[in-house]
Formats: sequence, C-alpha cells, structure tokens
Amino acid sequence: MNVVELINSRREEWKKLEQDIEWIRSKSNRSLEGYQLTRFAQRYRAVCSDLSLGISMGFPAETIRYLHQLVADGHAMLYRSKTFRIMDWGKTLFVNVPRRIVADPCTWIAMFCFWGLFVGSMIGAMILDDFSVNIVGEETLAQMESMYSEPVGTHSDPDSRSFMTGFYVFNNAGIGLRCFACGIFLGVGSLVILAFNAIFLGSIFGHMLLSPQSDNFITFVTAHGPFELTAVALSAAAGLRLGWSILDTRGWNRSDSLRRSASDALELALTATVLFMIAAVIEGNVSPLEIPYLSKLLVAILSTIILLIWFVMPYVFYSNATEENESHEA
Amino acid sequence: MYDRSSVPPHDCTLVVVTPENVRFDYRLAGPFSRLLALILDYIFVGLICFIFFALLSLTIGAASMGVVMVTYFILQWGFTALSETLFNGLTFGKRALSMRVVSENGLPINAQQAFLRGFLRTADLLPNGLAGVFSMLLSRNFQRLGDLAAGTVVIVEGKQGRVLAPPAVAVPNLSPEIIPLKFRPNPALTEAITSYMARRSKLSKPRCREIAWYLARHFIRSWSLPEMTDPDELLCLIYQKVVAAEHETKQKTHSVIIDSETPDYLLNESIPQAEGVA
Repeated sequence: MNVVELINSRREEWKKLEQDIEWIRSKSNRSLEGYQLTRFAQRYRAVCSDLSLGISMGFPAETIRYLHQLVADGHAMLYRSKTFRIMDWGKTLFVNVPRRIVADPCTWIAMFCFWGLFVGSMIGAMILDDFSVNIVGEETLAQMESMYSEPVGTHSDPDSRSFMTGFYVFNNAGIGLRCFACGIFLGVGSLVILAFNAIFLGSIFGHMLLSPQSDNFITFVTAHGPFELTAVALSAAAGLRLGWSILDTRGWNRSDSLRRSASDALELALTATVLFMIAAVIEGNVSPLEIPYLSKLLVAILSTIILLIWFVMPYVFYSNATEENESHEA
Repeated sequence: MYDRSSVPPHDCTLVVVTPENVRFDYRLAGPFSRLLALILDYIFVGLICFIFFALLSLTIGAASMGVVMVTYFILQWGFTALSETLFNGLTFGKRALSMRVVSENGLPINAQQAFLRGFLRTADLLPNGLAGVFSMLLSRNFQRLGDLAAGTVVIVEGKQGRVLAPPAVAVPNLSPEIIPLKFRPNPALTEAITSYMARRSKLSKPRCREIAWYLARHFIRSWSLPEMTDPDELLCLIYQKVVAAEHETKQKTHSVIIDSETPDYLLNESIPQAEGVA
C-alpha cells in the first residue's frame, strides 16, 4: 500500500475523529455516552499510530501537520485535568492553609517584618516631629486629620457604606494580590510593598495618635484592624514563598521548585484575599457606625480570637483525625 | 535513515509525548501576538464593565456603587483566569487570534494554573511589560513569569495543514523506462515528492520547473538523462510510477495499518534506500 492509498483509506477515520472531538468539546463530562467515548478513544489511538506511520513513510508535510493538530486536539480531550472542587476548598481553607502558615518561615518573616516596621515607625512618628511629615507628606497628613475631624458615623448612610465596602475590597485586596505577584522577583517585590505599607501606615498611626483627632481615628480603625493587618502580612508571605522557592530549591531544579511551591503560595494569597474581604465588610459596615467604642473593641478581640483559633485548630483537631485514619488503615 | 524525531525542533514548537508513545508538536505563540490578544482582552473587559455598570446605575442607582467596585475587582483580577478555566484555556482575545493556554505537558490547564498566571500578569507587566517580554525571550517556550510559575504555555491553534493525497498527472513526454527498475525512494524522498505534488497545482508552470529542478537535477545526472528534460515532468513521472505504485515494498506496512495498535518498533523498520539521491 502506498502513501496515497493509505491517506485515502484513513481519511474517513480522521474526519470521524474530528467530529468526535467536536462532540466531546460541546458536552459536559456527565452527559457523554460510553459507547461513543470508547469509539473516540480507539480512533484517537489509531490516529496516533497513523502519525508515527506517516512520519516514517513520508506523508506530505501538510498532512503530517494536520495529523499533529488532530492528535493534539484528541489528546486535550482525552486527558483532562482536575479543576477546582468546591468540596476541597473547606479542607484547604481550614486545614492545609493554617497549617502551612504556622509551619512556613516565610509567614514569620513577613509578620515580623510588617509588625517591626509598623511599630518602629509608629514610635518614630510619636517621638520625632518630622518623621511622619517626611515619610507621608504634609498634604496626606492634613487630609487624614480633616477626615477624622468629625466623630465617626456623621456622614454614614447605607449607600455610602455599600460603596466604601466595595472600594475597600477593590483597593486593599488589590494591593494584597499585587504584593503576592511581585514576590516572583525573588521575593523582593513583596518585601518592598510590605515594608512600604508598614512604614506608611505606622507613621500615620503614630501621627494620628498624638493629634487632636486621635479619638475618632482609634474608634474607626480598631474593628477591622486584626483581619486587615493579618491579610497584608499573609499576602507578602505568599509572595515570599513564591520567590524564595527560586533561591532555595530543596534539590529540585529551579523551575520545578517554583512550580511546586506556586500552588501553595496561590492558596495562601487567595486566603489573604478572603481575609481582606472580611476586613472590608467590617470596615465598611461596622467601623463607621455610631456605637460605643467598647463594642468595636469587642469586634476586634473576637476577630483576633477567630484568627488564633483558625491557626491552631488544625493542630488540635485534624492531627488526631488523621492519626485515627492512619491507624484504621493499618 | 531520515527520521524527524532525531532532529528535534529548535524553538517555536512544543514537543509533547503522549502515553500512546506518539510525539506531536504544538506551535507556540510569540510575544507580539500574545500582546495583541491581551489588548483585545482589555478592550473586551472594558466593554463588559461599561455595559454592566451602565445597566446597574440605571436600575439600582447609588447603592450599586459597592457592587460595581467588587465586580470591577473580580473582573480585573479574575476575568482571564475564569475564562481560561471555563473555556479550556481560551479568553476572548486568544479565541480571536486562535491561541490557547495549555499545560507544558500538553494537557488542558486547570483553575489553579489559570489563576496563578492571571495574578502574576501584574508582575509580568511591571516595568512597562518588560519583565514578561524578557522572560519570554529568555525562556525555552516563550513563557512569561506567570507561565513559568504555573507551568503553562500559549500555543497557536486552529486547523493546520490539510489531508492531501496528490492527484496523478499524465506525463506524455517522458517514457516510464527512464527510471531504473531497482529504484526505490526512501521516506524522505517520498515526503519531498508527495509534498511537491500536493502543492504543484497552485504554482505556475515556470515556478514548478524552478522548484523541481533542485531535486530533479540529481536524477538527470545519475540516470544520464538529456539536459533538456523537464524537471517538473520528471518528478511527476517518478511520483506516478514509483511513489504512488510501490506495491511489493510496502506490503508489510499494509498489515500494520489494519492493526492500529502496533508498537513503535514495528514502524521504525528500515525501508529500502533510494539509489540516486543521497
């Protein structure tokens, strides 16, 4: 059999495989019929060997390219990858991520870096007169002072609260994700953004605490603080994990090492985004309310407790559960 | 023997070896077509935002601003990732320019990869997009930083090539006897001649002669044919008498075709070499 006869005899099958691929592409996984799927798999394998045969027999180049594409399309349909499963999210969010956060030095580095710089520049702004002016700038400080010149809740109505919630999600979670993304530059980008935010926020805090508007400022800031500041540090930790894996490869080559820790880092960054969103809801709807300071403090303490439980919980509950499972299997 | 797998493509191609032990190629998309796709995506997202926001502000009014901001956040950070997850590696721009994101191993991408490369786009675009461009130029498969982290590549899709079984052409001026009886083309020569024949009908006669001469001159010399032999017609004759009619030599491959699950080693059996052309 020569090349021409061969191509002519196989042409029908190739057309059918094209149709199969179209058919699979247009349907969801559940509604596929077994018989047709089997036919598809058979045809796909036949075309695979047609391609090998065609290369060794010297099919025309155009036909070889057609077969390459056909095999590629079939391959993409036959071998699918796992997508997000909602069921797994719970375990990721409540077990894997907090465990990793506690075990990962990146988190601690980011936490210390953030809080150290934050407290440091807060003290600096309180002791030195020029500190906050040099860092934040006179205009921004004046703006902050005028923002908090009236008691919290004076201009609060449902519309503006909804807008501010949305704005906080957009702005803060956006900063968090940017901080994560810049971690790809060996972690330096994350650290720079983290340090900038820590110093900036710290000096504003220091300045405002000593200003006449300090009461209004504290009343506004307290409630959403724990979630927001933790989220900032976690975003940077995610970026650090990403960038650090390029330097410390733990025996893998650099791209593999990056790829392996990238999924962990992504989960961490998404968790930070969730925290940012919770913080935004509190900031938009609780912080501007005209309620006693004590109740806002209560919210802050409650948030801190929730965060602590979230960190510690997998160690208390889940480790026992896995040990039980393992002993059952044994 | 000539074998394509012994000379792997240098670049612009992603070679994938399937579990069926077949290797196939993906053409990779370059930085500039990808930039175009990105711009198209931005325009598309902008349009969606505009329409959606206009509708919202008409119906709900001021209260909708919060929804608008959250939607904008999701679209800004998640639009391409969501679209790549739901439509198997396609976004609007990629679809328009027939590109697709796949994993480095040729499999469709999953949500995790899509979101990773979506988030890291920010880093890629950082100093005016230089990080991404440098990364693409320096990496093996035109991968930007997000692609490197997620293990993905962008490939060119769409129908490539055609099934071509070239038609036989009558060659009245040459006698079949000029071809030596024991002449058998090797696969490389078969491929060259069939490819030539398949494309021949689209070319003008003088162009055909010009192209065919490069191959035909070897036959003219080694078979001692007259200098004035038409190279185009000579190739047509060889195609017709030898390439398209080699019954005895390919009997073995015939049985191979029917059983389509033949392992690779049967297919690599040596096939007689051509005499004239080396």
